[in-house]
Order: sequence, then structure tokens, then C-alpha cells
Amino acid sequence: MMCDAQYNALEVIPMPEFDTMQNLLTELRRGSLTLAVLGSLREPRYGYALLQTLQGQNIDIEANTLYPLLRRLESQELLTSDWDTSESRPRKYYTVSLRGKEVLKQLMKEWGNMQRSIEAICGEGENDGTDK
Amino acid sequence: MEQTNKNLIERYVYDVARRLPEKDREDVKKELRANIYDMLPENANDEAVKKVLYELGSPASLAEQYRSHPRYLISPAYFDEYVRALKWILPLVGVIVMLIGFAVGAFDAAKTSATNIPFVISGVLSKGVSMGVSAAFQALVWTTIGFVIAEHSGEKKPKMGEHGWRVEDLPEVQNPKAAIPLSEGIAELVISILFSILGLLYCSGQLPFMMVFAQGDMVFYNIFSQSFLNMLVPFILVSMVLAIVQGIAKIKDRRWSVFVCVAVVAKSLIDMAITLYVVNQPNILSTEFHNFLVNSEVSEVFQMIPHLNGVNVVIIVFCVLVILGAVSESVKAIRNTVRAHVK
Repeated sequence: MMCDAQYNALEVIPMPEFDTMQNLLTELRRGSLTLAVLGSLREPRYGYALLQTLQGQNIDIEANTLYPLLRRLESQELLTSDWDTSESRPRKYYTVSLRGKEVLKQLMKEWGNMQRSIEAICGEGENDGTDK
Repeated sequence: MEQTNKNLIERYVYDVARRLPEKDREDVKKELRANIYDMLPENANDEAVKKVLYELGSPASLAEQYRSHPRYLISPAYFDEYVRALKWILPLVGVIVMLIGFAVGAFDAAKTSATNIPFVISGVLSKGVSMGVSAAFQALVWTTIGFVIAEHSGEKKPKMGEHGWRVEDLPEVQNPKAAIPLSEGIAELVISILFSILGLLYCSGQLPFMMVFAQGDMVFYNIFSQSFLNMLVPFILVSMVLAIVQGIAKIKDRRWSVFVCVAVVAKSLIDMAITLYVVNQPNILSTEFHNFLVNSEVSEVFQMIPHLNGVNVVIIVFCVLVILGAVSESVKAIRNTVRAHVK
């Protein structure tokens, strides 16, 4: 019975803690979005198509985060862009630059290291970090 | 697509772009417009457009995302110092100008020779308070402008040493007992300036000393000789300047710092020297008051007081008390300061 009660308490997260959870998730994902974007742009894509691709891969990203992020990565010269005016509506296509590819390689290496370290600390295969 | 939809999209795109730097506007508009149309189904109705726009969020928040650097009037790097500066500049300027306002109000009242005392008092008070408040606002505005200019002149804070800061610059841990409440500095400033102004007015003959006789006749007497009063003026000014320095020190540092300690010790020792010099002057009393004393029963009492080397014992006792007071004040200040700096 005790276990049941504890389980239910975890399931029903009160409102303020729900917000905290959202903030933590947003923080955790922020850096990984750059990886996802750089990785998806090995071939040219325009904003909305990239958004759909990422969401199709279960990456939790909003349009209002992605579009500014694309511009920022372009200003950092990790992406190059091209306006395609051949169709009825002009579209801005983004591709990862040489520099972007190099950066992505290093970031992926760091990503792997980080994942190994965190798993070593928190315990591999544990769904929740509460008991060992 | 309906015309109103297009209008909504244009208004949204415009509202985002106008918050961005000039050079980015056209490009962001073009791209955002294209993205919005991509997100809409063919022949989208009003509802679909609104849904997409709400999904993108408010124009202000989207523009914030597009700006790579957050905008500040005063950035976090300066904000701490800004608040710290305001904390001592505002009360100091407010109080000093309020006192000046009191003086201005009093002079105004003296000029019109108003006799309605409550009216004069309310006039003086309102003059002082209104000048003090407006000066505090002026100080707020100019301090803010100063910091904004410092922030945006591109002059980044000079970095100290190779790490950008130095361990040597860390402040000493403060003993809470060493704190001086803000009210103490302000109260001392107010009282000393008020009395200095009264003293100066008195010395310049603006405030006659009033004596009431038992018979009910009111007679004005100048107790002190004019030569004595003239000599007093520079001393009052010196004492007032010292009091202002001490008040500023206490309001600014709000703890027993070396600056506060030096100001307090200097003020009490110099005040002591002035007092000792002044009470030992000959011809302090005016001739009329001197004559009045000689002719009254009081003179007999005075004659009973013993003299030591030709000096009245009362004056000797007074001098000793003045010296003791000044020395104990200085010792207290030094002890407080030492205690504040010793862990």
C-alpha cells in the first residue's frame, strides 16, 4: 500500500513543479537543438520543411525557436543560405557549411563523452534516479 | 487567400521586424513571411492564420529570439554598482537640498516679514520637502543617464589582472555590529546643518535673543558682543563643513570604515579646539547684557563662584567636560572602526 501511495504521488505532479520540470527540460534540450539542426542540414532545407523533419524525429522544437536559431547559426557561419525564387513563393534554403560540419563533429564527440559521464554517474538503464 | 489574412500576416511580420536592427529587418520580414505561408494550408481561412500566428508567439517575444544579444538600458555588469550608487546618492542629495529648501523658505518668510507662525512653518516645510523630492528625482535621472552612457559608450569595464578580477580586491567580511544605520547619518546631517544655519542667522543679527522680565515687559537684549559674533562665523562654517563630510561619510559607507572614522575623529577634535578657543575669549558678552548682569541679583551669585588663576571655575569645568566629550567620542569611533576591521 505504501508503495502505491508513493507511486501516485509521483504521477500527479503539482502545478509549480510541473513548471520547474518544463524549465529543466527546456534547459536540457537547448544545446542539443544545435546538434539536431546542423545534423539535419547536410542537404539544403527551408525553415518549415526542417521544422517538420525535426518534429518527425520527435525533436521537441517550436517554430519560434527554430527560425531565429537558423539565423543565429548562419551569422556564426555554421550555415549558409540561398533564396530559391524559382517557385511561386521564394524560400530560403539553409545548408551546413564546412565550418559547421567541423563544429558538428567536435560537438558530437563532446555529446558522446557527456552522455557516458552522466550515465556513469546516474546509473545506466535506470528510468528514474531515485533508487539504485 | 483572403485579403484580411494577408493583412494580418503583414501586420505580424511588420510588428516583429520593427523591433529589430535596421539591417536585419528586410531579410527577417521576407523569411518570416515565407515561413508563415509554408505553415498555412492552401486557401487558409482566418482561423488558420490566427492559429499559426499564435503558435509563433507574440511579436515581442519572437523579436527577442531573433536578437542575438539581449538589450539592456543598464546591463547586469553595471546594475549592481548602479543600485549601490543610487542608495547613497538619493538620500544624500534629497536631504541636503531639503535643508537648503528650508533655508530658502525661511529667508523668503523673513523677507516678507510674515508674522503668522503656522503659515511661515508650513511654507518653510513645503518649500524644503518639494525641493528635496525634486532634487532626489533629478539625482535619479542623472545617475541613470550617467550609467546608461557608461553602458553604451562601448567602454567595457577594464579587466583587472589576468583573470578579470583579483583576489586582493575581495571586500573584508563585514561585522554586522559595524553597520551605521542610514537614519543616523541623515539625522546628524539634518541637525548639524539646521543648527549651523540658525547660528549663522543669529550671528548676522537676524535672530534677536529675547529676554522676558518678571514684570512682564519684553525687552530685546543682545547677549553677545558683535565682535564676538563676527569672530564666530568662520568657526560655525568650518564646523558645518566637517559635519557635512561626516554625514556624507556615514551615508555613503554605512559602516565604520576608515573614512567614517577619520571624519568623526577630525570633527570632534576640531569642534573641541574651536569650543575651547571660543569660551576663553574676552569680551564675549555685550556691554548692555554685562551691565544688566552687574545690576541684577545674579551678579552676587557670580561673585560667589571661586576663581582659579583668574579663570572662572565654571569655565574650567566646562572646558574639561568638552575635552572629555571629544576624546571619548574619538576613542569610541576608533574602537568601532577597529572592531569592524578585526575578524
